[in-house]
Formats: sequence, C-alpha cells, structure tokens
Amino acid sequence: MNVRQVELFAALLTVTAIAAAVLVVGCWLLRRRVRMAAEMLEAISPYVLWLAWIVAATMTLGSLYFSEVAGFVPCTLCWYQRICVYPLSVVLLIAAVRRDRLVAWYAVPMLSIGAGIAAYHYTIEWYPDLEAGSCSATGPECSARWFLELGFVSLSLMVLVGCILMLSLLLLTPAPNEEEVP
Amino acid sequence: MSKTPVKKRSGAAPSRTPWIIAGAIGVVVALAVTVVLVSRSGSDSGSTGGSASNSVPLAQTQPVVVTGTPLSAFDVKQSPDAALGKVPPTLEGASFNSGKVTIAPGANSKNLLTVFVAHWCPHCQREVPRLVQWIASGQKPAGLEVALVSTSAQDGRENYPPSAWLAKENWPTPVLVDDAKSSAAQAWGLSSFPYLVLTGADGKVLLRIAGEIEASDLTKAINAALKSA
Repeated sequence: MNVRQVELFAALLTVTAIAAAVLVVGCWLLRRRVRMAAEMLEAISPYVLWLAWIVAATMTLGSLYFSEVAGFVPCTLCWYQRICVYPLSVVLLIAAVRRDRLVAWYAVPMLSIGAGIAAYHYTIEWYPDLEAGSCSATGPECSARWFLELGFVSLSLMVLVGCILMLSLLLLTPAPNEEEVP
Repeated sequence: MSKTPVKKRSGAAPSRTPWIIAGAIGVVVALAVTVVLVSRSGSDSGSTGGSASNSVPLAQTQPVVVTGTPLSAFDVKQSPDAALGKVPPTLEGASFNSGKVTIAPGANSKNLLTVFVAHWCPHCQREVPRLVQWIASGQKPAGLEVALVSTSAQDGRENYPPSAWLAKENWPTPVLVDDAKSSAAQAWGLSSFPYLVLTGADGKVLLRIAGEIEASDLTKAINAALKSA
C-alpha cells in the first residue's frame, strides 16, 4: 500500500468506527426499551477492554505510520492528542489481560481530553481564522490538513472518532459485575 | 477504588470470541479490498492532477533565478517594516507549463502586487478566490499589476497540485512557480502565508501584508501606500 491508499484505508476505518460508536450509543439509549439493544451491550461487554485496546493500538500505529513513514510532521495539537492516546495502547492492553474494568478511571479522563483537543483541531481545520489569520512558513500549521478523505475525514477526525468510540465502549457497556463499574 | 479486577465467570454462554474476531477480520479485509478497488479505478482514469491538456504533466516546482539583495523576513510586529523602500530581488523562472515568467519590480514603471501562496495553507485557499473576485470586480486600483508566486509545494499534502488549484480558481494573472527550496519566497522575506508585497513604479517596497485580508481592506491599504509613496 502506498501512502494514498493508507489514507483511504484509515478513512474507511474511521467511518466504520463512527458506525460502531453510533451502534453502541444507540444500544445504550434503547437498552430499556428494546431487548435486543440490551442483549447486544451484554454480548460485547466481556470484550470491551480488548476492543478499546484494538482502537488505541490502531490509532497509535496509524499515527506513527503517518509521521514516521509518510513524513507528515505533527503539529502542536497533534502532539497533545498523541499524549492522550499513546499511553492507552499499553494501559488498555494490561487492563484487558487483567480484565480490569476499573481502568476506565484512568482512560476516560485522558480520552475526554483527547477528544476535546481533536474536536477543536477539526473545527479550526474548517474554520482556520478561529486560530490565526495566516500559515507559518516554518512550522506545521494546526489548521492545515495533511489530507482530507471522503470529503470529511482528516487526521484530527480520526482521533476524535477513536476517542469517542473508546469512551462509548468503556462507559456505556455493562461491566460483568455491576459493582465493579467505576 | 480498592476493588480487585473482575474474575472470569464460570458457566457462561458459548464463547462469541471466534465470531467477533472473524467479523473484525472481515471488516478489515472488506475495507482493504475497497481501497484497492478505488485506487485501481483512480489510476485507470489516468488523472494527471492538473495538466491543462491531460497530456503534458505540469511542473509544480521550477528553477528560479534570484538576482538582487534579499528582503528581510517580514515581521508583522515590526513597525515600520524594515523592507520599506528596498527593492526586492528580481525573480526569473517559469510557470506551471514552463513558460518564462519574470517578476522584476519597477522594470516597466508600474505598481506591482506580488502574491505568494501555498496550496496546503487554508488561509491561501480562502484568500485566492477573494483576490480573483477583487481583480474581476474592478476593486483593484487602476494601473496595478498583479503577479502570483506558487511556493512551498509539497506532493501528498492537501490540495495538491497547486496548478490544478489555481486553474480551478481561475487565477487570471501570471504565475511564477517557486523551486523546491522556496528560494523566491525566502528572497522576498516570506514568513507566513498568504504573503502580499506591493512595490511602486520605482520598484521599491511600499507595503507588505501577511495573512488573510478582505478585498475592501486590501484596496484601502494599497491606495494608502500608493498615496504616501
């Protein structure tokens, strides 16, 4: 795969992640009215930590690919988002192995901060004058996208969607033991 | 917070793990196949990314010969601008289709507005159509010539190639294509995009602007600079 194909693949993964997040949130909203929704949440519950780790690991590997292989220099906001997501690729793996749902106490704050920064980043990509009136000639500009796939998927949206998917998995699915839910 | 991790449940329903793994692999494979199919259809269409004739590839960087003393880097916080009254270097190069383009302030005793843009800069993406409208609508001061320098082109970044972008925006004046090291931009003191330099009939710098500017404000700024010259 060349860089262009990886960009498209990552964009399609993002669309899949959006669908997954909508599914989880939808099931959570309908869990008391629709039996199937509650059953679906119950069904994925034992795998939530592994699923969240897969999302974090995919985001980390993708981020490293785009910066180290494709040569996309991360901007300041990109670095802040990396700080929030990279550690989770290790923390969630340990939690998944230990079946420790209490990891949500650590993961949710980091993901919330990461999602907030990514949301702001995505916003200034579409409305660059919210950040500044010009692009620096010397450094990576936060409002300048490296690419835009499918008309709306950029790197910052990938981070935002990944964070929201992990948040929905960790917060909206029932723990195997209700007493263990943070 | 002192609770121990959840223990594995006994007597649970048959494991769904194989189905979940198979489903995840299926999704990834389906996405990969989609990427391959889309990429093939894209390459089959033979897009050259901005070639006017679809037969001659356009150069997104061109050699530039810089003659003269470089301007100091533009600092918007510095007032007055240190470059005022200085003559920028002459730029000799080519357009996207390799036609010769020369930007020589004062050479034909006319006022000249030179605009530097980068295809990936969102502010340039907003400023270029604004300037096209500014020129077409007659808001541009009479007798003022406008030239554009396409600089800092990077393959793989958004909105590449700049030739296609400027063609799509119907940019109406000569375009000089900067080299891969952005020699023209550096020689003219560019520090941020978009970058506009107004030179008078004698070739001396009258005004430098960095960043987006509304058409009416640009007209006012140029008229004021020309008046004070």
